[in-house]
Amino acid sequence: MSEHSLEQALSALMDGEAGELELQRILRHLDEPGIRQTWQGLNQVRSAMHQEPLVHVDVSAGVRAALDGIEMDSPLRQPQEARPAGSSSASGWRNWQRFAVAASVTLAVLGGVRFYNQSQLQGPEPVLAQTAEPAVQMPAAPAYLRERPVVLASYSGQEKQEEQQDIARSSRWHREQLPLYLKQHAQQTGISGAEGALPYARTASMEGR
Amino acid sequence: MPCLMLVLPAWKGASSVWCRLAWLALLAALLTTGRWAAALTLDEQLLQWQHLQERTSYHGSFVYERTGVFSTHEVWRQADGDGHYRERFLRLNGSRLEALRSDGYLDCMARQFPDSPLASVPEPVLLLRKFDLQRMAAGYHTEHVGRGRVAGRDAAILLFTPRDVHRYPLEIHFDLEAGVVLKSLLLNEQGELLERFQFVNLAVGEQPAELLQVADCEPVRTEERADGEAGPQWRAGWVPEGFVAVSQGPVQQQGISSQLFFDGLAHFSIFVTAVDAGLMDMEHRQLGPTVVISRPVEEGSQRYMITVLGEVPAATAQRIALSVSLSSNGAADD
Repeated sequence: MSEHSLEQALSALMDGEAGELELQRILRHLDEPGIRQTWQGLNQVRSAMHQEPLVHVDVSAGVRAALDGIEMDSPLRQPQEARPAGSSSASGWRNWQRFAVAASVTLAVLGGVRFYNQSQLQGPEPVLAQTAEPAVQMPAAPAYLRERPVVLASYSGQEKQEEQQDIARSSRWHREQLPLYLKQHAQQTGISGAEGALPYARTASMEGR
Repeated sequence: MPCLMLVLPAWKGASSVWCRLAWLALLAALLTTGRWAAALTLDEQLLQWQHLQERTSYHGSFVYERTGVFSTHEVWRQADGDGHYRERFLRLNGSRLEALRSDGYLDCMARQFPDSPLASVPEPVLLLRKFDLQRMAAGYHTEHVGRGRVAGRDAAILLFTPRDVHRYPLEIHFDLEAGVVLKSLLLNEQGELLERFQFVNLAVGEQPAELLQVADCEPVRTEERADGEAGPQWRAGWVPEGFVAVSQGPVQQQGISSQLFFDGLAHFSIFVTAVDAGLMDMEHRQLGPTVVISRPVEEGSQRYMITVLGEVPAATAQRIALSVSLSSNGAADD
């Protein structure tokens, strides 16, 4: 399986959209250092998106613990031929077990990361394996459905400063190329959108203030 | 009496006064339910607003805000009867910025401090100018959540709730009379505001030609598509359901291959270009509602930068970027 599709599987897992095949693909590659780097990269982007502090989570410990915690004749660790040809009910049970492992892995990975982010101020303890009850929380009803957004207060000069610092940190290629990409995107969307003057306003917001 | 038999069968045989009252009640019910109940579905109403706003001339001012940006603008718009329109925009705060637009195309811009070149826009092959309702339905649940008032005008509030995690919710206030988008709020998955566009005042009426002129307007170049031009050959292995490419294939322009995708409301673009070796890691940038994810890949001896940019959640942009693969017979070898 190529590294490329493995990345896609991880990304799908992060979106909560990974199917059984994707989960198995990830499990098969757990011992590779590359997968941890990829996972951490994905987490960094997610952290940045939610303005959470950057965290480094070693996914392997939590996942291993989750796997070891389930005492079973894991079909994932055996070659296909070695498995006894059981009755249909036995194979159904095996499938159920397999899916249980997959579900545990998802919960250990996602739950653990969520848990870690919530306890960000308590020091960098890798706590994945200890989360007996995964801290996956169902999101509450979106705030916008409960009340109209009241906004102005949430915008501050500090955020603008951060944006500028962000740009200053970027490589030269990004500093030169991204403004052009942004403008091209904003200008093109004016043609296909039905949003009135909004695409223009976006373009204008990219121009010197 | 036929009317009583239909409306109030229990009163069969009653006087003609009851008959008249029943008809009056029916008429009143029809009137009070108003235009919304006038047999127009939400989809038909959207198309009607689109049709109306393309044919409405107006003068107004609006605010635009996103993280780190709050700007005020004035707009003059002159529309003819057959759906063509011309607009002039003037930014009212900060440095001077003026622009002219025709039918949604940016024609030119006048800037007090031209800090970077104007981007040239590749000529699109396929234009999706109308609400693509079928496409929108794949990505969003559309709901009429009530009436409101924006810029002193009555508006209908529509909420476009995404059906999956790959797009943002959008709240749009349409002018009931003119169909103009008076206000639009883009929210993230936590319900926080990413972007606000809102008219402060709007006066519908013809605009004199002299108000639709901009002095020293720098033209925005529209490049012709150079289909024969060599550029990176790539394909996106995954885009969220409901998004389609606006052009038939990637547009090749000055070594940059790009394609715009659209789901009826949201857009993202994919850019692929060859870069020098030794260039950087994955990059992530968030500019209000617009996310930028850049990812370097190597194909043979050549390094490429894949950039996904648009008004979609960062995780989605990242997944799209990860799915882009370059063909082995890439243009660098052509």
